Amino acid sequence: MGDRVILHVDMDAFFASVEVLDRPELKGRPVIVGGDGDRGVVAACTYEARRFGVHSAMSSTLAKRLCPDAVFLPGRFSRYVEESQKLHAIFRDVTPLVEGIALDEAFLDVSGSRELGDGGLALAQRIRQRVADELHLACSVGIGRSKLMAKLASKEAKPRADRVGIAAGAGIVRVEADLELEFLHPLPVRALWGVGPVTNKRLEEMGVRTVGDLTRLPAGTLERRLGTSLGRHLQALARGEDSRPVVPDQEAKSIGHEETFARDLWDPEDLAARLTRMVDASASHLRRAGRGARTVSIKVKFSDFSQLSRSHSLTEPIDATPALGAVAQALLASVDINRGVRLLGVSFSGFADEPQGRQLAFSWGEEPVGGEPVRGAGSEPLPSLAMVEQEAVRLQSSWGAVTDAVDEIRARYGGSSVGAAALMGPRGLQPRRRGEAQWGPSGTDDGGQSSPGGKSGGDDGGGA
Amino acid sequence: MKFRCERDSLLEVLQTAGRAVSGRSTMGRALNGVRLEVTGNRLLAVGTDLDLTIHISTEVTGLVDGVCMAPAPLLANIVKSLGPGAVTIEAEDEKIDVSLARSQFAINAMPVEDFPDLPEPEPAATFLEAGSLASALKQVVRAASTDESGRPLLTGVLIAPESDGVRLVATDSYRLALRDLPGSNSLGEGEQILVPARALMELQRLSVLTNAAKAPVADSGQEASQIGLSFGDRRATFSVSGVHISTRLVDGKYPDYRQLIPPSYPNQLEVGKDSLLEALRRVRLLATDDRTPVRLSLHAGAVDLEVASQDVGEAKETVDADYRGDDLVIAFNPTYLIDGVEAVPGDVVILETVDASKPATVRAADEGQFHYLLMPVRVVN
Repeated sequence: MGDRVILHVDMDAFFASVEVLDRPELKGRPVIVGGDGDRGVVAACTYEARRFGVHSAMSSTLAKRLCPDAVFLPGRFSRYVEESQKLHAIFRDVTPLVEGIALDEAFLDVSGSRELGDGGLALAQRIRQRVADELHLACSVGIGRSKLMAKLASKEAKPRADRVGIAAGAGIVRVEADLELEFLHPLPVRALWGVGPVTNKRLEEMGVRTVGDLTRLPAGTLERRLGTSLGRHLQALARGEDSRPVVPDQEAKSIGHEETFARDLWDPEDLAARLTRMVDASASHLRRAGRGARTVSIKVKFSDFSQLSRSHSLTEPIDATPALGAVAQALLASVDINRGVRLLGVSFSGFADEPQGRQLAFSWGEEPVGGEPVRGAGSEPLPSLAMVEQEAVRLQSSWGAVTDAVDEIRARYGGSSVGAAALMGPRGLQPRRRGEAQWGPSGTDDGGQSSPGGKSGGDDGGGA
Repeated sequence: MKFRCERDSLLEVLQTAGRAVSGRSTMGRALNGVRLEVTGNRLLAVGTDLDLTIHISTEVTGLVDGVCMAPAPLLANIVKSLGPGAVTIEAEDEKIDVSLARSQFAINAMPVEDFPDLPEPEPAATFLEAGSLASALKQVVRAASTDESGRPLLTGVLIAPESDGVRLVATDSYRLALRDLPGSNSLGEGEQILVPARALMELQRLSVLTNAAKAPVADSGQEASQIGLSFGDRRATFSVSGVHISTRLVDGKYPDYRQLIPPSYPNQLEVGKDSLLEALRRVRLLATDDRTPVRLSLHAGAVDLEVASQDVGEAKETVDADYRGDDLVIAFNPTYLIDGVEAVPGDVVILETVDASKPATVRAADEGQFHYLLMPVRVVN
């Protein structure tokens, strides 16, 4: 079998470029998409902003200091999803073996293509052309015989911005098999997939700065310092060995939502109300995907940055908001929040295998048709986790169809037309929308930084 | 105790009483036995698992009065294996002898004093005509839930007064079947009983009912059989020609099913019952499991049926129909839909819908005595 040919396609400054596309007057200006509150982060920025040293994942406060003239935009997640769908449709025209990494990024395995006479260059060129013609946006393409090489190559192909100016990138970079190590070894180790800030620091302590340095370490040393699996993994990557296949997109394995709060929260009732909003948004998303979930998880990050998650699995899949909420609230109630909560998240997983649709059940109202009812939320004590299953089943059967009606009303009249009483704030209903305020709270809303779960959302960030 | 009885009628008695015997009762061996008692020329067989009790009696040639308890499935199997003719059964000490011609069995008897004390079946308080009861049971019972632990209430079939008769209702939360039996009410206002579906399935299997269901009274020219019904506070008994089926009632208040029925339907499909049924059964062949839905595209002049399974393929069929309403695609569990359509009396079926996620109704062309409500399957387009 010959070498694989893998493309990594990555949009250039995707979110920011979509904003400029929609508002041509911004062309040529530094544009930053992200949260502009105290804890907001930069989600994307144009190359004009990068000239000032701004980059994604940087805190918005710092970005403003570096580039006070930048246009700050909150981001329109649904708009990016729209463009992303067009982009992924182009990919699927090329090959069915498309693995989406983020809205603006994907691996394509084109080994089976008949047009590989030039090692994939013509295919890459065609993709760039179509993206330019149909989306009016720019992308960079890396070509290699592994995901690692393709991803590093696309990075190499990108435009560069510094104080002097913006240099157009190559657009397409192909790493040939016999030049892989020559290309790889001078790169800093953090370019490797699996090297985050902590690992990077440890490696630096060992005198390892480049990928090449890694190969010169005796195998045992690295494994002792980083653990066997990470150690082996990194040394294999450093030798250019990466056999990870391109896995065609599956459906998301979990659906969820999390928020970083503008200030740490201590009040259990406040947290419970925020959890209700998140459950509401994610449950709607779950139902739109036609799924029911068996596992409900919450994630809590405390003011000291320590973090924990709790999850509970049910025997029956559920999709009704109150049923999902009962489980999530019981999980939250089991967490000691005395350290102050900085981030709260909820996610639903363990999807029932229902490729064909979901049998709806009658809505019995509040009547118990199963076992004895268990006391619900509100001022009553929350059901213990042991009892929450029964409660969830009861709520699922009594609310199933009501939830459908809510989804329908929202689809017709908008997200804030109907919701749980607990979502009612001084400014009316405030259900979360997917992707809303994704990169941190804005100046006025104390809501929080939220990021949608699921495979399609968020930025993968890390190296190849 | 000693008697003689034709093999076929003895077998029917033993099998009928035996159906109340669980066979693997953990509550004691006594519940695995059938109690036999001879008084004069009458044999009475009783089987019970305490929830369900079946008394059945038949005419025999009584030789010695007495009583015994036999292992129910074994005795029935022995009798079934014998050739035609009169079987002699004699219980003495701890043995029960079963003989016919040159076949001889001597099986260990069970201590008859271990058999639970059961109340005598109460005299019937009301009567239901066997033919219409048989058809009602056939229409309704299968919609009941079989989930004993999760949905105990819904494992019961509701029998409640409705205008001048009674109404039978069963649901498993996904579909609901409802049938009125006019002119047979003896339940008081607001009085309702919840009969376990299992007891009604046994009732359905009695020959009186299977015969009544096969040949409606009007055709057979015979006098209609009547099924007696009596009920007390925790039990109900159905009685017919020598058989009493007594059952514990499901405890609890049945949920308000009336609120499930939409007040009106904007969309109405009118279609030939047989053509719809045949088409549904054909497209269902492509359903890989009981969760593969059938999609119905409702539009003027016809309904298109479609079943698609990723691993198998797809089937489509168009059935001519009258349709009034908005074009609509709605999906159902094909078995639930077929159950409902089969149960509709007459040649024409009406399918009424609100939208793709609200309950739909299957019924006959006239409002009639039968109503079948079912929830759609939500499919992702």
